[in-house]
Amino acid sequence: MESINKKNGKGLRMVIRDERYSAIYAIKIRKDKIKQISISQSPLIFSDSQPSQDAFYNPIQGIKKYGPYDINTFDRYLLRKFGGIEFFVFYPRNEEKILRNLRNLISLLRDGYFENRGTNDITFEGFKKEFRLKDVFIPEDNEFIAYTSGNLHKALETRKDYFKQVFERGNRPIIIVGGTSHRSTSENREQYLEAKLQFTNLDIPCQYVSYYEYETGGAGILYNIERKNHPFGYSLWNFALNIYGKVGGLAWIIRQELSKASNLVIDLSIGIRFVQSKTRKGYTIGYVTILDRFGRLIGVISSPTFRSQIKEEVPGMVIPSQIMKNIITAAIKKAVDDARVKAIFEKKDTVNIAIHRLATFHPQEIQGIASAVNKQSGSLKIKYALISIVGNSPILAFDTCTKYWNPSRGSAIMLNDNVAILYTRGSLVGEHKRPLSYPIVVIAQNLGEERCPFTSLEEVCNHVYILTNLHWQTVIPGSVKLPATLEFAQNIAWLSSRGIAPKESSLLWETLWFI
Amino acid sequence: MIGMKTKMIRKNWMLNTKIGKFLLTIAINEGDKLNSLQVWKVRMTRQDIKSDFKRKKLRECLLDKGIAHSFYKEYLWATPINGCKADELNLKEMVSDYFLKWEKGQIQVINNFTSDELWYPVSIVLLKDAIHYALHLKLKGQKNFIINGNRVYNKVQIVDSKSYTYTILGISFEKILRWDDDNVCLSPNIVYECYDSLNRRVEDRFIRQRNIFSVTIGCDSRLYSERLNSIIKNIFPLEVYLSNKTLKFIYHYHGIDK
Repeated sequence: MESINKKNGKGLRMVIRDERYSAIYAIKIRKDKIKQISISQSPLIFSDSQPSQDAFYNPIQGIKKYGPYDINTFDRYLLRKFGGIEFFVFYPRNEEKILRNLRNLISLLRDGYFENRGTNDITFEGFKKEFRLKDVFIPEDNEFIAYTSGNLHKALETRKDYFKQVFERGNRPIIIVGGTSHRSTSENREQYLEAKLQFTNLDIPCQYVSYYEYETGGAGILYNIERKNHPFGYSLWNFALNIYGKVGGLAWIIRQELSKASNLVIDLSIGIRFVQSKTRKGYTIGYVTILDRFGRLIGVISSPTFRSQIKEEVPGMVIPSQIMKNIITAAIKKAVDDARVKAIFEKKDTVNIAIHRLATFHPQEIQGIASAVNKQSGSLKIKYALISIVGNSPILAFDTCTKYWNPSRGSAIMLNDNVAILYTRGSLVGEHKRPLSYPIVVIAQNLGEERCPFTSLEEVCNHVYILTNLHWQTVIPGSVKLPATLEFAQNIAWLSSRGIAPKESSLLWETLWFI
Repeated sequence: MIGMKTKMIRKNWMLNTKIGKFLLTIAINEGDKLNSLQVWKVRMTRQDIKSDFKRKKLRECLLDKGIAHSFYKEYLWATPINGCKADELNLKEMVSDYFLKWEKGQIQVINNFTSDELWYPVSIVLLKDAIHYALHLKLKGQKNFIINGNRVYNKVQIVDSKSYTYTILGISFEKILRWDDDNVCLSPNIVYECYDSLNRRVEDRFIRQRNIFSVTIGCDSRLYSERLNSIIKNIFPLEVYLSNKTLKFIYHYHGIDK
């Protein structure tokens, strides 16, 4: 607290880093309110005609049985827009280990993985078959493209037309780039950033695959592929799922129902995250992701750079009212103008919006949000919920009924009328031996007010919980902690702050280019 | 005095811990409530600190003297944390040397210590200082313990060792929450620290992360709770002094029915 330094901007950096925890200070526990609350498990939907007995399929079971959702829907806006996927594989020159393991990885993607490396492994029958694609072009080993780190653009100059031709064939391109960096380390990060920057500038989605070695081991999918006694099926599935999302595929949806009792749904979920600007010292940029009622990414709004305010009496930064008004106005407008959403909104009397962030909403920010909503209210009646999330709950809960005391995923405990801790990770069965996971804290800041669409804390927790299952980054349920709105906004913010963002009209905005 | 009460509370609590309970990792203050707390308020800001004592150094100096402090709204808010009451000490004599000017202060009795207004800028800061002081007092002379802020590590509680490194157990008291009106609770968390074979802290972030990850990945909630119990038993019951109030942290779970 003492190190907040308004003059040189050091304090601002600290504040943004601490945003994940700043809402902790808003928590006040009420002894008489502490109780367990029930959260309903919402099924992943892979097909509009999926029967109820298949309600709790996990991603791999669902995809294997039905294929991805976007080939099984009657909704013309949700239908898959491409026939096939064409892969391009890049590797850094003079990195034999990377080339060797890339060859293995790509062959598994094409031909499938049927080894059984231990009890906890799973098969993968090839990308084309699992994702039910008409065409998949996967290059042979000798068609891989070598590049020199730092000079990737040179390898692309002569190939730009290849990528354009893919679209003309009704397919989507995906670039696989091998490298020696890893997301958990800053070492060689420039390789990763170079790949992301070059391909994002070309409006082509890119999947980076790592081979990272350190003194006593290694990390990354290219490292893991050569560990023959280590299960590889789930890594391969995650890799394939990431590719599918990056080309614009929709593997599954979850319906955003508020509760079993009512038919109301949250029509839009908006997540806001902030990062410091890399180009203007001491300035901040906000990124807003908008998801619709099916959990589809409708779009992303970024704010202009601004100076956040530090107020002595509150933790974290305070967003100027006008900035908040502008970003929420732009987010609602983007949704209303979107053909996919417009058709649904036209039939509705009231639109329900949930706004998420990792800090509490300051009164001046709430004022900005209210102004933005009022501005739209002429044409549309809007209800909005302000939901703050603490990324790592300070409080843990131990379930003494189970062998390992792990609370099952979906356990929630109310701390007062507006606050609950919620387990979004872990197993659905408490008996499973898993490492302890930290819950999140959900703070429903305007619950009980007339304009809040939620009527209870259970509904709020249900809504947040549903969104944690909508990440499309992993086939392992219960491994992502935050709701998709905030996870996505964080990824976009991280890349954008490094100058990596698609052009305004880019097709990439309809894909999960940032995961 | 605290021993009898601890035994009683622990016995009652154990009787209550039947199958079908959630245990929340919360240590509720069983001592005085925080209404009518005496604090000194002296008109000054951070700019009035002498340049030799800026920031961390001032906090260290005041903690040495058993004083917790915070700056908020043009005032220095301070309170003794060594068991004395504010009206028993002369603050000016103790700390005025650290400041460029000293205006006459006053002792104020505050009844809104856990209010939204004071909680973040004043109360949390004073409480953190008070806990830090109490930890030093409690573990004085016990050479196995390393105190780093409001974290305590036990050098002999090694949870994992590899060829060149080993990982020790610690506990953090950094998270403090409000409990009903005028009361607080701690939410203790397990922390780990990684050392090399020459007993130097491992500085490489990647190696630290990997080593600590390997300790946490095998730690389910039950094992976590055992680790928590094993380290906290050296620290609790903990008495924390805040001027005319004495906070007592005796047990670190709160049970609720499922």
